[in-house]
Amino acid sequence: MDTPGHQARPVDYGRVFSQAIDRLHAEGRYRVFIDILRNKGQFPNARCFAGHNGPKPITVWCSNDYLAMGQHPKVIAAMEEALHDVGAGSGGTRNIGGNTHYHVDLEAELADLHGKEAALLFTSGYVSNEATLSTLAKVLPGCVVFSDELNHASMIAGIRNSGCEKRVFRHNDLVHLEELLAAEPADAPKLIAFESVYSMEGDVAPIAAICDLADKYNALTYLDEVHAVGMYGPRGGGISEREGVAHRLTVIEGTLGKAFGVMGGYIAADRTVVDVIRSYAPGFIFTTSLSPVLVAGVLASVRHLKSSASEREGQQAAAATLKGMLTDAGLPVLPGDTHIVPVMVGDPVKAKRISDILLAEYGVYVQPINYPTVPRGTERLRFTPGPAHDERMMRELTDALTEIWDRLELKLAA
Amino acid sequence: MSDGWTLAAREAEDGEYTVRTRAALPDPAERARYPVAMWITWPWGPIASEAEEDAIIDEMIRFENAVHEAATRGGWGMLVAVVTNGAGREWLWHAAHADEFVGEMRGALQGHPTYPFEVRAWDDPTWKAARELNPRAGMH
Repeated sequence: MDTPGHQARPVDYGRVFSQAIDRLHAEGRYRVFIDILRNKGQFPNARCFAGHNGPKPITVWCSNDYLAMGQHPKVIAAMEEALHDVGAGSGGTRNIGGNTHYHVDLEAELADLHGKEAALLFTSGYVSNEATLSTLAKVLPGCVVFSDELNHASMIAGIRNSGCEKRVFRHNDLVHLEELLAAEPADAPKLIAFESVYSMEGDVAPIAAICDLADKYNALTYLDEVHAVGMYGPRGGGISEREGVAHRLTVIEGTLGKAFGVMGGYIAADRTVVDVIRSYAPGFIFTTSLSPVLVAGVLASVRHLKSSASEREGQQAAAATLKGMLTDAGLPVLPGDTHIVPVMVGDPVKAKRISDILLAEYGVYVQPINYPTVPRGTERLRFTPGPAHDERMMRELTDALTEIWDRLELKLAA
Repeated sequence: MSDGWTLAAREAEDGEYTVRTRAALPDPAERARYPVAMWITWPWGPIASEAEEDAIIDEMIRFENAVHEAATRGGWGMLVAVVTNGAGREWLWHAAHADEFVGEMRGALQGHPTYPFEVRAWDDPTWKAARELNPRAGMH
């Protein structure tokens, strides 16, 4: 109740919003975006506009354009051609004017990539996960979703938005997953949601063994391959293609913005599942479809990576070389078999400090990875070397990190 | 939005600090109504884990919201600025009377745990401290 003599004042929205941001600063979680432009045809070289009187040359070490396909001449030519042929935008949702022939072709190409009957495009990987998981579980009354504890935020959002029961299993822990599956009624619909490559850890899921459990407990499977499509498998179909298990998965989800170098997300599955998502998922239905220019670029990228392994081989070689150099220098590299090279720091302030020094003094751009992206105490720098990172760049990076580790008195690997 | 606020993060030798202030100081009549600066200091103290730090920040926010809402409703004070640094968090309020502010604040915090803050008060009719914290704050 208001004190007599004083009028009620409206909510001070400005104070509430600034208090929320202040909280992130106090916790060391406030994010600053680095302002860059990549140099076409010269990736990983770029220009940085942060804190300078003009662009400063930098080397990008944290891009998810793992294979530099965003710079590939075929991709750029395809996009230019589409732009001049059909214009910039799609003109609508898929249902109302925005279903271009590029979209249809790309979906066929992606279905073929994963050996599935159909595929469906979304505006991003995040949207594809959120829309598909929330819809799939909603369509199955009483569905219980089993989710790896390190699943991406988009998968967690999709599962939460489905409103169904969720069981979280310890990361890649088959025994725990089976315990949870066995605890549910045999006739309950079940969906196991997991990733192939966990981007922050750089490790790989036991896909075949999870499919075995899915068979045993009559569960559907949903595999997020965003960090693997284009990167693994003879045609870039991901870890599931490399291991010959794609046919055992109900849904494979991927992104078009990482190894394929452009933008967008997708799922591939059998025709009925895709038709359900196409028909029921608000995140698919009520949004303007991807620009045909983007889709044309992805189409060129997917087709190229189906037949060319040189980018994948170059990327794997670069990752192995960098891991070797950093390990030899005594830096705490998190072991793993993938293209991702995490260097552990274990402190959010120091992780940001190292990143700041690398950018300001060495022209090296790498984002610190802090909570909530990774658990507290496991803050890190995450390097993603690609086929265009040469040995000289890696040597310079290793020397810079060694000097900074020494300067900040950080722990080297045991 | 009823009031504008700004937030600036700055680097100091001992780490980052943030200053959250009103974008503009209130009009002269309002400033004259609150001539006393109330400076509340809450040190971090020993923090064993990130979870503990989160809990302390939660408490600080609950404290600030409770006092701000009561002061705004009761007309006995006005929140002007919040400074956070490696030592802790500090709030600058302006009040009509120091004793009244402290008494009303105690009432607003009934049911809260005992918070480890200290209060200092001094006459500041020109709002000098507020202007030092945000030199760009416009004056009506």
